[in-house]
Amino acid sequence: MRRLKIVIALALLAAPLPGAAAGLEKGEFQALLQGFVSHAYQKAFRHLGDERDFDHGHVLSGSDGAPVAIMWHTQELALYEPAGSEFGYLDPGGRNWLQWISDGRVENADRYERKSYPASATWDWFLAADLPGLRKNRTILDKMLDPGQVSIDPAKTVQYVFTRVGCGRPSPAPDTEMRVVLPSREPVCLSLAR
Amino acid sequence: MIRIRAGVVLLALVILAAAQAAPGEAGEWSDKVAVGRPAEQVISSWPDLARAAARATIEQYGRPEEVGKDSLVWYANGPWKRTLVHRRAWPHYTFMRDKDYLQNVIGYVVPKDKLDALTRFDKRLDVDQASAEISARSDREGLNFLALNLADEIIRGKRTVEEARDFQKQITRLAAAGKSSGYMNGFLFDVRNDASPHPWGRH
Repeated sequence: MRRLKIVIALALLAAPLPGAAAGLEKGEFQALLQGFVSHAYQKAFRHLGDERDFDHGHVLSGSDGAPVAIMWHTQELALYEPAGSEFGYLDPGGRNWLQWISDGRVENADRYERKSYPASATWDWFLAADLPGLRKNRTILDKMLDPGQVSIDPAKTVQYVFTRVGCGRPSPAPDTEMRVVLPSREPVCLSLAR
Repeated sequence: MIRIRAGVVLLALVILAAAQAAPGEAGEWSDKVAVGRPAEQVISSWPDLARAAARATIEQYGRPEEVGKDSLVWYANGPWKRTLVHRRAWPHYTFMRDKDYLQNVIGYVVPKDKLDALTRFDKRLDVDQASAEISARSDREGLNFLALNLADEIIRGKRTVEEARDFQKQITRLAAAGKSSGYMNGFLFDVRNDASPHPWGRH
């Protein structure tokens, strides 16, 4: 019976991410998220699985489709919350993070932001229409990363959303659920979706 | 008699030529369509943001099918029945800034009893019942997808106007925070750009 449980657990960890095209299995994604949570909890976010704070990541892939890094966005709606409140900024300079697939290392994505943009009408409109709002929110998108430093194809980026669910409840879709432990040892159960 | 006919023909030619005269030469066009004028030449006199929006749309969809002094028009481009870039943005009614140069049109039969709800939801939606069309106007296609998806949900009774407005605001804020949404990436309902205003047949 115990062996059966281990086999089921391994099968769930090896399950591909829902709707995956990102070449990353759920177990790998969960391990990377665990690493990021251990690194950034209470520094860059407080509420795992809550869209007001931290509930998504973008798997960034190279032109060959192989995953390169995960870009995490934290303190998502902190701009609209009062300073010092539960969902307000912890650190406005810590909203965008890169975690490398190769070794799990976490870095602030700000240092990888483009210094300049290509000359084209599409980019000009992005700079005029989108960038001011993104800057106001201190947001860096995948396409704002310096291609000289991070070799990715933004067209291959896949976003995953993880929403907090109760750990004790029977799961309707166990292969889409993850369990992450906060540094405080509190377990957090998350439902994963694209 | 022949002399009179020749005079009429000549007069017609003069009127036709005048109608096609370039702005600046004759002040403004006498009609809405700048016949034969390259889009780039027309938008060169537009305000900076409108010109940038027009150039980005040309880069995305190619040359417009119609070039007017106040708008460029593409037909059947991507998922749209029609796309327009306007020289002037609308005054903003909601939390958005005043950059609503891009109008995307789809075929859609809006029931008469839903018109008021759509107006209350977002004044940048425009319903043309005679042509069986609905359009959204903003500075980005993603925002127009969002508005039209929510309009459809209001029409189907899936969300109230207030719920749709709150959701629109939340999705827009999250997008600026880096989180994308399926509501902004395409249609969540079947679009019939060949929709007829009289699906039951004309009387």
